[in-house]
Amino acid sequence: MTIPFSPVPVPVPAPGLTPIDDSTPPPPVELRGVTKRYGTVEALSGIDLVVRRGEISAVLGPNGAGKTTALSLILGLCRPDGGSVRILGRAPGDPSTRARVGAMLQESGVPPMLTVAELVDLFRSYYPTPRPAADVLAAAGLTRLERRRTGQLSGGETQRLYFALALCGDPELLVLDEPTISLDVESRRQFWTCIGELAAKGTTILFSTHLLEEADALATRIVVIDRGRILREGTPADLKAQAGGKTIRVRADIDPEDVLLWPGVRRVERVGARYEIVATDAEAVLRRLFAGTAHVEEVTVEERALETAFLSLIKESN
Amino acid sequence: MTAPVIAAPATTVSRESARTGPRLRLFGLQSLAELRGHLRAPDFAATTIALPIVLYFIFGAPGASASLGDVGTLGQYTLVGFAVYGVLSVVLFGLAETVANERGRGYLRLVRVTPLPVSAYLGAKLVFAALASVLVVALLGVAGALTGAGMDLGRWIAIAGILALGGLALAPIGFLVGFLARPNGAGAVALLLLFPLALTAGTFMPVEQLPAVVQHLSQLTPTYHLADLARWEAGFNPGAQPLTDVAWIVASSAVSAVIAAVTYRRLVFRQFA
Repeated sequence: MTIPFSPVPVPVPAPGLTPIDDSTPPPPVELRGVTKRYGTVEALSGIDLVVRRGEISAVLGPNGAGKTTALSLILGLCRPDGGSVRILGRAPGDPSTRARVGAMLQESGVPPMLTVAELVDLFRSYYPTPRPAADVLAAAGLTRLERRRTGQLSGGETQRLYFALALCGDPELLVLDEPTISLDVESRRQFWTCIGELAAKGTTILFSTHLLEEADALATRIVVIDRGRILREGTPADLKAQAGGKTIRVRADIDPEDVLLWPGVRRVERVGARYEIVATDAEAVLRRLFAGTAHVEEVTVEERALETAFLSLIKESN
Repeated sequence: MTAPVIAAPATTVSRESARTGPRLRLFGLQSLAELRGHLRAPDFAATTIALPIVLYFIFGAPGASASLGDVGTLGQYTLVGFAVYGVLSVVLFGLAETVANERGRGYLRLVRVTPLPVSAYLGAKLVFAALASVLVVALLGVAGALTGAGMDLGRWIAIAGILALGGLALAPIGFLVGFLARPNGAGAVALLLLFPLALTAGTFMPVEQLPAVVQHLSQLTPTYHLADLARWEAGFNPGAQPLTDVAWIVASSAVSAVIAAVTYRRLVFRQFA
């Protein structure tokens, strides 16, 4: 074998200089100091978010927290007022970025007269390296419905169609805005399985949800967002440890300021005639309560639902 | 001194430089989807394809063979008017209402997330508008032939061509309405535009019989000039100035295209949820 003549000498890194490492591709999602306002409403006030390759990240927050705005910026549907958005190392609206990203938005009202298979074929034609149609339909559980007109699909089936359309381009990054919002419990679990399989094959997934249960079941990382700010970020276990515990409800003569200083007490709040004490070690708090307080009545102790834990994160921030 | 840089391997380039699937296939499928979507919709077939024909049968067919002198018959005159009406309803119902729906119900946003160029999205709608215009004009030609208002086939084909191009020229108005109107309001806006514009095209009565003020205003609309051009081809107004008509149509199309483009940038790009 002959070595082809090369008029340009191959650059050799000088000793002591590290060549640019091209084996680490840029992160799929990188937001730096992103702000976005609509009129007088500040939808996002300085968000930093980096999603690493192969992660399943959940953006968790109540309605109006800024989830959809964040995803819209990531998808290049609008531009940030401040900060920078890089998707797979490029500008989000760039056609070559769009070719590598799949998305599911809320309410997409697809043309009602086309069949499922026609629409999937249409969307596949948009992408340079589409995923096979049969594969897309199977992944979304639509194989038996492929001849059905999209206008005749049920709410849950339509949601699965949106998912199918998001998969058409065989994306490296999948962005899903409240993907299971109109699915029943069984379809939701099927969907979670499917997301897990995609992630196992290396697809990076970023989804928004207001259901802590969903974030917990699916995500490897949860980003809690409210009023345009990121409140917490971590694994589901981290967040539960930070915000979990039990709620004690009691009618008693206590000084809430004082109780708040007891070990294991996270929060004390007066609700009507009773106090609500959130504690990581409820038993110890109860023992101390009974030992040192004159009137203790109407005691209930409740394991905090994940939902409540998450709400308390938001409440604490306000 | 600059640090030496090792070039990235070329293997990733092919994937990253391909932004869409093959353009021709993409555009073909997009146009096909547009045609399927409309032709399968019963309300579109009724309002856009069937209504001009029904209206011709009501207003034009009864006195169709009455002579208008050497130039032709009343039926032929009315037929051209309803052909313009048909093209106008393709633009207003087929384009404006569809775009308003697809934008308002979130489909345009979903499409914008894909690599599909906006030009292909709108271009496929133009293909549909041209073909639907030809279809309406062809069916009206058959209706005319059946009621004694038939025309020389070559002449009618020329009229169909003029009106199909006219439909393309009017398309920016359809897009503009689609960018501005709400899904539920687009139909009403379309109707509000349809009747005055059809009036200026002399669909319901010759423009010359309208009040003088309305006649002057009519001459400002592209539909007046489109009808004028089609009637000139049909042999009606020998005094017409086809080049003036073409200039008016092209100019108004360009102006509405610019307004539509600005509106798209300002409204569609800003909208988020």
